[in-house]
Amino acid sequence: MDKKILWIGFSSLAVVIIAMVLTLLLTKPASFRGAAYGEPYPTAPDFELLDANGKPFRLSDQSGKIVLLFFGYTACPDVCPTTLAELNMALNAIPAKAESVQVVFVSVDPDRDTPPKAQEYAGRFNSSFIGLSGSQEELEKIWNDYGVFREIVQSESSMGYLVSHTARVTLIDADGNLRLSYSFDTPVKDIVNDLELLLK
Amino acid sequence: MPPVRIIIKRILISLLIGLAIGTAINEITFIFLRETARAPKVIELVIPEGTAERVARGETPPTIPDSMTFVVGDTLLVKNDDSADHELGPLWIPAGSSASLSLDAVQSYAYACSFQPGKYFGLDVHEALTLGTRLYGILYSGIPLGGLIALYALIMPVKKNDPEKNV
Repeated sequence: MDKKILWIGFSSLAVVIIAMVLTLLLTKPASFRGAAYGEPYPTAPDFELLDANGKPFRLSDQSGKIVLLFFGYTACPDVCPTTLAELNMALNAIPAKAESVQVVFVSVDPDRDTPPKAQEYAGRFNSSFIGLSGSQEELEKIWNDYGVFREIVQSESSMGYLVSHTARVTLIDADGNLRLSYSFDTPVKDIVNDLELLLK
Repeated sequence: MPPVRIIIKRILISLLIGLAIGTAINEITFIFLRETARAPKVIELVIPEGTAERVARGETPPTIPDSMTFVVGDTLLVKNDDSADHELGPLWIPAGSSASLSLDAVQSYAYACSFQPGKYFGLDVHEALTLGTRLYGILYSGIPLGGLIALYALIMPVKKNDPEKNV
C-alpha cells in the first residue's frame, strides 16, 4: 500500500517536472513587439521648443525617462485622439512605472496650434503629457529629423483644413537613443510589453 | 443490407481513395507555395548608397525588390547604407543605422516607403508551410472526401450473381 502511494507521488512529481521543462522549452523569450532599431542605437535628434509656459523644453532634458514621441495636431479627427488615448491606456497599465515614461506630442499644424493649445489638448488625455508647438521653421527641422511627413489637405469640414501626417509613435530610451517605433494599428498591449521590458 | 465485413472493407477503401485524392490535390497546390516552406528567419534588406538620389531621378534601385514574401515569425531587418534617412512603414531608419520589423501575423502590407519610386513597398506575410500544415491539409480534405465516397459506396447495392435473373 505504501509502495503504491510512493509510486503515485513519484509519478505525479515526474509529470509536474516534465510539464515545467516543456513550458520552459516551448515558451518564447520576451521580445520587443514594436519595430526595433539595431545596435548601435541611433541617437534621437535633439530639439528645443517653448512649452505652454514659455519655458524651453529640450528633448535631451528627458534623459533618464523613456519618451514616447508623437506628431499630430489638435484639430485631428481620428488618428491623434486615438493614439493619445492609447498612450494613456499604456501608461495606466503600468501605474508603478508610469513616472518613468514621458509622452511628448509635437504639432504638425503650427498655424492653428499654439504651445498652450497643444499642451491643453495633450493634457486632456493625461495630465502628464507634454504638448508642444512652435513656428513653421522650428517644427520643420524636427519633422525632417524624425522623418515626419505632413501635408495640408483642404476640406469642407467646419474644422477647416485637415493635415495628413505620419502616425508613427517613436520610443526613445532613457539614454536618449531611438529604440522602437509603432505604427498606428499597434495594440496597446504591445506597447505595454515593450515598456515593461525596458523598465525592468 | 451488405455484411459487416463488406461495409468495413468499403469504408476503408473509400478512406484510402479519399486520402489519395486529398494528397494529390494538396501536393499540387503546395508546389506553388514552396517559397513559404521554411522556418521563420531574419531577412535582411540593404538600402545601398545612392538610393535616395536614384529614387529622386525616378529610378528603381536594382538590388531592392518591389515586394517581398515572408512567413509568420520572420523578421525584416532593414540596413540603411545610404547617406540619406529612409522610411518603411513604421520604420524610420536614419542613415547608417538599421531597424527591424517583426512579422507576426498573416497579412498583406502596402507600406509607405522612401526607397521605391512608387513610394510603396509590398510585404506579403503567409503562414509557414510545414510538414504539419501539409499533413493537416491532406487529412482535412482526404478524410471528409473519403467519408463521402464511403457513404456513396454504402448506398450502392452489392452486386450479386443471381442465377434466376440470368434465365
